[in-house]
Amino acid sequence: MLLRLVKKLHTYAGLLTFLNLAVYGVVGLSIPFLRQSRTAPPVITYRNFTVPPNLTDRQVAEQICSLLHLSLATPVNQAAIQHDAANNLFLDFWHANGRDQVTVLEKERRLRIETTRNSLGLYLYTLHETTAAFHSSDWRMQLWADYNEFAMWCLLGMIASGFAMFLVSRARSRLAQISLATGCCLFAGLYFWTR
Amino acid sequence: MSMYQKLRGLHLATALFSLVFLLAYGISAVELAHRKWFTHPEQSTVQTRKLAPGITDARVLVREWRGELESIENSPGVLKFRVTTSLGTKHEVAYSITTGETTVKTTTISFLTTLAWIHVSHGIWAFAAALVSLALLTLGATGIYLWFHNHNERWIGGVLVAAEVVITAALIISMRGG
Repeated sequence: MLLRLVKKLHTYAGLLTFLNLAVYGVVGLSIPFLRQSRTAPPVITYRNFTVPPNLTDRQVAEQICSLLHLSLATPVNQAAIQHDAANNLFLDFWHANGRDQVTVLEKERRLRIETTRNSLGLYLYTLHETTAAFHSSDWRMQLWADYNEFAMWCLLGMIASGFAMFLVSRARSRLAQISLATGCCLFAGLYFWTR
Repeated sequence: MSMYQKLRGLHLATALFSLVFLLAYGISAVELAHRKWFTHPEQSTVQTRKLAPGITDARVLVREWRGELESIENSPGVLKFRVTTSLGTKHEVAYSITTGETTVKTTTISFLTTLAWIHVSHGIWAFAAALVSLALLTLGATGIYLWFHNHNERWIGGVLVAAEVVITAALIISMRGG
């Protein structure tokens, strides 16, 4: 009875987090190649923008974020608000899709926008590491972060329940024993070799 | 042996082979996501050694230790450098060029922090991550087959997996759009 319950939980945890776990898998597979893929070269564009009077730098940053549809970069991080050598307001927005560096050219009444777009691999890498500890003003990212947190715990739950099922019902399987021993030895060998 | 039995065997063998790795990645994921929940103690030991005097290149001396040469400080008569292993053990070395007297401060990190280093480490661990990821994808594919074979749970499982895939895929695609 208990074994059936554990098996059910194992199955449903897997079904409920199938795509998240697939993202983990794809990201892990692409890690050895991520350094080479990196990002596309930045694209520089200009856009007309008049800074309204009596706004704080943060309020200007929030307006620009909204204007450029950078909701994934919200709430605006304090570190994103800077000033360049000419004392122009310089906004450095990091988000899952890459980076937008905006220089507010107040006298010229325009924005200089340098956009660097992450490759698909880096985008998924960012998503895989986004959990509930991260707070976003974008509801889609917050929903993803919360669900990803759930997937992380489900993965641990599946490891525990899977191992319990093995102990109860398949502990005598020679193939299973050899697989477990090989994995453990490989991990231990790598651990002590690289420590 | 039926296809079901073969895939069940593959599911079991893959899961057990990657069990320790998956556990390490799973625990370190929690550690990385919630760093405030854990303490990160470090332990240091200091050791003195006598090396051949007269060496002025840290790259020659560094061969005594395994790891990445991270920083070099060249003050008069003394060569200082730091070597960090793939899993975060640090060796801070101060070498006297005239006498060869060498002080090595070795700092080791806690087991949990080491797991976090494994999670983000490059080199051989990146290939281990790739191997385990392949295992994870295999577990997903075989798991779906095994579940689908169980006729009693097809409907409820089908609804759950469809809802999950549609919602998460919609989020991934929509956020990629900006």
